[in-house]
Amino acid sequence: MADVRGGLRAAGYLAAAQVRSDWQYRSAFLLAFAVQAIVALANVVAILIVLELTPSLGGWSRGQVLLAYSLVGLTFGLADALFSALEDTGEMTRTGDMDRVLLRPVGSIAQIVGRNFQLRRIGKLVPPIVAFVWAVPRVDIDWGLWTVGYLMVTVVSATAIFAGLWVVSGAVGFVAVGVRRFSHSITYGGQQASEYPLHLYPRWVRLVYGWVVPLAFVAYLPVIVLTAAPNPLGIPRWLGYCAPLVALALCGAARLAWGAGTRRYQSTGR
Amino acid sequence: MTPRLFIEVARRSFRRSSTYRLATASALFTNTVFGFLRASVLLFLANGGDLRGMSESDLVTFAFLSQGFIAVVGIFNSGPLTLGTAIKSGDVVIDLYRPAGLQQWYLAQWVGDAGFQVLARGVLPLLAGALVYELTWPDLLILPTFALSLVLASLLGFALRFLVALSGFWVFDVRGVDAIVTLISGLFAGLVLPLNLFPPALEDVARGLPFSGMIQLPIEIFLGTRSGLETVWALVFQMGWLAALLAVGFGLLRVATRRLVVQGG
Repeated sequence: MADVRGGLRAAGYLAAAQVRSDWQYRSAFLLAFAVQAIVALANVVAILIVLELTPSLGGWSRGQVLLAYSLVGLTFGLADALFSALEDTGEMTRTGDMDRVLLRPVGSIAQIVGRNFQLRRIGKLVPPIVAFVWAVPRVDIDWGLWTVGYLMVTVVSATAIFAGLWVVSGAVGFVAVGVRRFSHSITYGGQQASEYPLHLYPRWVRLVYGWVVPLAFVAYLPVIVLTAAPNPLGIPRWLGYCAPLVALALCGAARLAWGAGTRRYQSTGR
Repeated sequence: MTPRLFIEVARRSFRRSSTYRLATASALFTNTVFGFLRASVLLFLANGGDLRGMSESDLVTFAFLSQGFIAVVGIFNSGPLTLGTAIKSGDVVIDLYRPAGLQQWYLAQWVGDAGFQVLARGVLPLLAGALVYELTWPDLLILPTFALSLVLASLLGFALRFLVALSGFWVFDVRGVDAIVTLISGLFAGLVLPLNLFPPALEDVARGLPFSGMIQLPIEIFLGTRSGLETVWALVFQMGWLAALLAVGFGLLRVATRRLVVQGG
């Protein structure tokens, strides 16, 4: 436990230093923030065009589809902003950077996350937040303390699930340099796949991106639980409450994979 | 730059690109997976949605074929066009005292790399899609025209990326410019969704911009949805934008190099 606390503290120090240095160039920072926000628009524009062309996306209303999008955008955006630097293990091995990281007496994940922290990436969260604000009055949610709590737990768990995927991609990068893009089919592919209701997809996509990579827990099941959205696959509702467990299991597995990766690490000797 | 030198540089660029086998294979895998994901999303529309005159097989073919274009036209990154980083690091000086024009030098590398990418990442996503879906296959007679349009698309991608790189002479960090151009070109080239599916006003705008020549137009030629005259117009459109963007790039390069001050060391 002391290990985790030390790692968090180190990551916090490094991240704060990054933020301070970014803040020295305020206009450049704000511009970069705006760029991130604009670039993140592409996904929602595509969804809006698709919604325009079809009367119904598998029985889900516009509000339900956009609520699902906002959950994916928010949690993927957070995980991407915080953890996507971990996928560069292959590159860090090649340049010898990884030697320095592994020699220091602080956890390697904490170091990489901390020193690559870029506050501007939070700009990606702007379109999902706007979509969330738009969607919420258009869906039937029975608001209460319980719903707010459920939403918060969902956002944290879903972020942890996506974070776990970045850690796994990093772990794979230790074993084979140059497979970074292979992992993109899981990370970015997962983002893309979970933006639409799962039941619209062919069977293998549902299996791979819903359950093997457990992204059904990120947005699909929460929207069903929160808004009583049509559930033609007949997935039991209680599964919609399992996101924290799934996130824990995935993060545990990711941690083990990362450990196995660092043990197999071979320096390039630079 | 002599044609001989151009060919030699292009050949070596082809060879260099072909040495990164694992990276190419993993990118190819991801391109193909996204082909399947995008095809499924487009097929949601087939269930009572408005397909805007495209058949189901047209839509699916569009998804897989456009995935094959990504590396060839350089939608997501500049590939061998490393001019942006060279400007930031100052290495551009080395580029400038080469006995060959800087634009042609990078163009030769782009052509060699694109040649490799067509073979490595252009065809297989489409073949993988054909295993699962019924695709629209082109008339054999149209293939040479499609090939010409594909070449123009790749050159358009170069001309655009060259401008992005040149912006490094004026802005501190080209990554912002790069990110915006990547978004705009992906959206307006037809990579996110075919332009036919856009709301009509937006479609008209998109069809006037050079990006449509990078994916949408060549694929329409492949699918045979353009008449003879429309096909000629598509090629003229691509050539016009190509000439314009290359000329702007050439002009800006001259302006930039005239004001460039390099600290010795």
